Amino acid sequence: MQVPLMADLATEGKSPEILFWVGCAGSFDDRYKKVTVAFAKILHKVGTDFAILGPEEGCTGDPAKRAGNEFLFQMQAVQNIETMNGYGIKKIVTACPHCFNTIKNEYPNLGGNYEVIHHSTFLQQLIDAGKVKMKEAGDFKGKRITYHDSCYLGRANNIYEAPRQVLQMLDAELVEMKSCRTRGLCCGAGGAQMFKDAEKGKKEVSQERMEQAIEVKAEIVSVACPFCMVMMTDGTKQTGKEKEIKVYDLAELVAQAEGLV
Amino acid sequence: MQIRQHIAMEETDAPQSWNMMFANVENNLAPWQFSPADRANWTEALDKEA
Repeated sequence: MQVPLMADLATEGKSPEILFWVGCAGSFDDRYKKVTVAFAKILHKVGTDFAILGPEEGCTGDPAKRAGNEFLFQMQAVQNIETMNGYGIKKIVTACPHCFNTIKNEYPNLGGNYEVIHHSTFLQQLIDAGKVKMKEAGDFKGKRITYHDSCYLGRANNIYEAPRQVLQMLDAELVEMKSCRTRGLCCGAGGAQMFKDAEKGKKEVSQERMEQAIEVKAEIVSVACPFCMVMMTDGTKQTGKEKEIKVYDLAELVAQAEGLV
Repeated sequence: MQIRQHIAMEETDAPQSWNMMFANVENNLAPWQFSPADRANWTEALDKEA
């Protein structure tokens, strides 16, 4: 399958319905690239009319903004908004809650107004519309899966149910950790902490979080954010549970259940 | 975040690793040192599939 570039479609006079905003982690992080591929396969399978910006996409500026560099954030934002407005983009889907939050809530003030959907909500809509069908005798039947809330989906944008509804259709046993939903525990990477050493303390946040997953005997920790993915994977190593507990993104679980990967 | 803005932009005293991240965002359009031209390289795995 081919993933079309916005620029190529524009030269043919076409404008796709949805821009898939891949984000930096989705483009460059080896682990999260698998999520990008899984999600692109789902989009392709259900026949979504989409394209990516490819080399024309740039960091949303989120890490710069969270770290206090408002100037750099605005430079990035204005550049991206110019690109997207140039293509007349109306609707965006992204697998990164940081990109989602920034484009949805912070770009409008700078002239970027779009309908922005996180991939968890998008997957839920596909399931509700009956467009995603799980194969018989699912791989996840009876497995204990817990969902780790991403701050930028949950507390920042009030998206708690969509990811859980996606997981429920896997026919698995969905278990909740001690801290969940509005009381969810950070993975340790939010607010640009991903890009610096941890503050002094007795324990890594990721280890604390993974211990909560172990408490509820989860076999799979599902995430919906590239940075949560990194931190939770670290957590399995810090607790010595690499073999027992696997960390997957929602899109990977759906693609797997559909037999796409 | 206002305190962070003061530290990053007025005092230019952000942690070294954040300054490196700022430089990467500014020069490579990503918080890491990758070339913007390689952004769509992940699609190569899909191109090979039917």
